[in-house]
Amino acid sequence: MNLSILLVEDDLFTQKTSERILSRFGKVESVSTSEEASKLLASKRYDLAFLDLNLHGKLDGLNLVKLSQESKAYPIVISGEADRDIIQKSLKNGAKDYLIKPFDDLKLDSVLKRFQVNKQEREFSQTIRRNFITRSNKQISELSKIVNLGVSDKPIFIEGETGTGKRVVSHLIRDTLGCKNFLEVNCSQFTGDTVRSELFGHKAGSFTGASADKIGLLQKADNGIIFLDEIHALTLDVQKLLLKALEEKIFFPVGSNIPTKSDFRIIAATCENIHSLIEQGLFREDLFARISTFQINLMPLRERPEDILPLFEYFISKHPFQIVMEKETEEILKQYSWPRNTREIQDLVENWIVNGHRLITPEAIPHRIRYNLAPQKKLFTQHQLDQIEEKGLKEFITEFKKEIALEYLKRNGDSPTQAAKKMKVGISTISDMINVSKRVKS
Amino acid sequence: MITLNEIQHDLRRDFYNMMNLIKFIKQEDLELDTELKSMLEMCLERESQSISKLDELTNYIAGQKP
Repeated sequence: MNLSILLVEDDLFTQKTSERILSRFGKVESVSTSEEASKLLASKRYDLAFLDLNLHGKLDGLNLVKLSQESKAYPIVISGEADRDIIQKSLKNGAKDYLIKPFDDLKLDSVLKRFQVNKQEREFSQTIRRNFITRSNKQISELSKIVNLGVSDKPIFIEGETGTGKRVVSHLIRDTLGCKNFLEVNCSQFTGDTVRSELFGHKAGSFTGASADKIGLLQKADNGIIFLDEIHALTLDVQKLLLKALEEKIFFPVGSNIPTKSDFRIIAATCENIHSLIEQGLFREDLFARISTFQINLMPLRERPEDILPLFEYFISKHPFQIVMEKETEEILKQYSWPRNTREIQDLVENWIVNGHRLITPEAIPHRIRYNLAPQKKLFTQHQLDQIEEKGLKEFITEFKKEIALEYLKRNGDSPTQAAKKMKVGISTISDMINVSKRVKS
Repeated sequence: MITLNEIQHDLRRDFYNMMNLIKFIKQEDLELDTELKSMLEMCLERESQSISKLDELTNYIAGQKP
């Protein structure tokens, strides 16, 4: 470690001993007064500032904590006072850690370890800001999970609507983990069994058109990462094979009985509601359990409207044209729900460029955005439509109502009063919803 | 007037500094005569014992504070 350290200590003997101890972590500059420390903090850049709280009988160290923070040094309070109040006060003032004198090498080492972790997190937070346009603290906090993904080689699952940046995040993971062998495949681009051959490879002659042996992507991803985008598009058969390959790191290319070994890590992503697909039997629950050890959820733009204008700025800055938006335009753009997320913003900017718009007035905004006419999410799924055809609408609705009533009872600790209140109906309605279904069946 | 609390604070500080000084001297691997070397070792062996006694004193004084 070669850190730049500021030590503020008024007792000369303590200063000398502390300086010597700290010198194993880097270059130490020592001062004994608050004034000297303030000057140094204003003019130089330190990684760490070890601050004695009690300087010449006054609690000057507390002001230095603030100054250290402002100059981006990591403030650590050292004090002879094992006084909880003073420590709490210094932590409130921005101290990142504290050491009570006398401290040993062990305590100092743990403080330094915490500093390293903090530094890593700060650096990563900057990387996120550079690579992923967001001002949402919630989104940044979710993305910060990436920094710890290196501790394991388990799969990672990215969930987010279309255009929320799943691919960007997969690249962020690749760069953070320093992965040199990174492959990406969009599972929805293949039809039928082609995806099986793409993933696992095939032997020549194993099917019509297989004129030569083909190495599968899972084998190519040996000692690396494979990003399976739109994983929901895999057929149930291929899902089963993938699960086995994940569990055993061994698989068989199509038409081959010789096992292939590959030590790959998976990043999977989907824009679909995977839980709903599992309920409908379209996605294997065991495969989902396997690929979702670590999950990263990407928020849609409607949940982080603070990112809308920065995203426009970003996409505009990619073009050599000066585009200016009127204030009224900005307000309209902020109000829209952007169902296709960043992709929709990108398309709109492209549209302005192609059509020669440079001053963006409300008239340059498509009608659906201007009047916030985003297509609403459908209330029904394909599975429900199939059920209607199978059972008839009347029976379906009866059962549907019963399911809703039971779900609300479950969510409200089996209290009909609470459930009725949440559903904005009377208790008798809930009772009817459950019992009518019984009558229809009998 | 200097209080008991301040005295224990100064004592702890100086004890800590002197123990560190002894450790530094040991690390330097200076040419010391055998007796001095053994005294240094004894001093270091007593460190944890002395720290517990100082802690006891600190706790006692803390209990005496109004």
